[in-house]
Amino acid sequence: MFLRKTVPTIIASISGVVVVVAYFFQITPIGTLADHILKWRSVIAVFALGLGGVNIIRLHTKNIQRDPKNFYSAALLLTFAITIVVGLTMGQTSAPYTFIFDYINVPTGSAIFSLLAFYIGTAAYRAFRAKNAEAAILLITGCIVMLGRVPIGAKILPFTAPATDWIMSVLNVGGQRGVMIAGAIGFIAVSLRIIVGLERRAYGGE
Amino acid sequence: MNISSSVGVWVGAIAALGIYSVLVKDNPFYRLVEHIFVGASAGIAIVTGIQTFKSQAWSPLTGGQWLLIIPILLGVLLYARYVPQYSYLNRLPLSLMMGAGAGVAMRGAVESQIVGQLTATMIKLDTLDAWIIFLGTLLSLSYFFLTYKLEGGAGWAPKLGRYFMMAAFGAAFGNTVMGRVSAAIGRFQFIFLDWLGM
Repeated sequence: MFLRKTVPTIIASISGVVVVVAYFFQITPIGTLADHILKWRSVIAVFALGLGGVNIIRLHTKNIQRDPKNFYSAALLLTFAITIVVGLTMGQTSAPYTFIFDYINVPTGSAIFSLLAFYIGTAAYRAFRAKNAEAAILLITGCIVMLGRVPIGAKILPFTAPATDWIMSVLNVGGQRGVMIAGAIGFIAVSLRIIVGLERRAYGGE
Repeated sequence: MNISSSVGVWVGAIAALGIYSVLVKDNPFYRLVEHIFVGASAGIAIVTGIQTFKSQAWSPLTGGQWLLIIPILLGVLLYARYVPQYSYLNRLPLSLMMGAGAGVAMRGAVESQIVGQLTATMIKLDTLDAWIIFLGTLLSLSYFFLTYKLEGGAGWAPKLGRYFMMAAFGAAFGNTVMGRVSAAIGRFQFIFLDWLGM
């Protein structure tokens, strides 16, 4: 019980309080401790990354065991292994590693990113139906910004380019600022709950 | 047409075509490219992680910074989840990460999201735009006033705040769409110009 509940709560509380206090007050020992804790956090994060790697291996090995013809999982594991071996033995600046990064990772990643350009059309159809005043405002500002961001939009409707600038620097700022401040207050509340041990589920507790 | 002779360009173009093939329907080509991408991305993340571990933990540790043994041991405890009998031990490193993360998030939220935004709002109200930003912030904040429901005379504030937020969301949506379209144009330029040489 002590190791399962009490110790994790104490660790979370101390590390949270130290990091916050070190930021708002100039107390040298606490500042040093906070620096250590933040450094430790980034070291533990590397182990957490490794945990992700182990999970990928476990999941796809199981997939292959279940269905030996599952060449997708085999391809994933093979690419995963090749990337790691190349990166660790030849270095991150070697030609094979750069090839994997520049010609597999980057083009595929940006193709996946741009795929949303096609799907977002159907989302726009649903979002941009002027059913009420709110949806109408969303529709109008969205359309003006989309037209104002491309040269052809400014050719068809010349007012869209300056209107986009005004929407982005005035209307958008007013609306987003309220959301940001309210979100930050919520964020602080959740962080406080974690620090005082009321949110033990955040680190696997009950 | 002057088709590229670079192996890298061919690989990149075939990968992009594989991804775009899902627009017709889910198919083995798409799934293969997708799995290769996940494998390569995860591999790159692991390599970067190992290099970070070497530079931030292992080298300083062997150089005499013995305190770094603590996060290394805590990091190893993350793997206790694979041993059911001791799986609870992974809460120790997680609690440090969550506690420190909450602290970092808290100070970031206070400084940049509250103080920074309030400071930027409280400027000299000598233009119409400054008034719109000021009122927009106040009204959209009133939408999140949840202590009790603002009704009657005060009910218009959250309603107007919602209008401001919708304008902001519309602008964000338009920006996102154009960002994605621009990325798609970049990919098509790669396929038609770099690969096919059209």
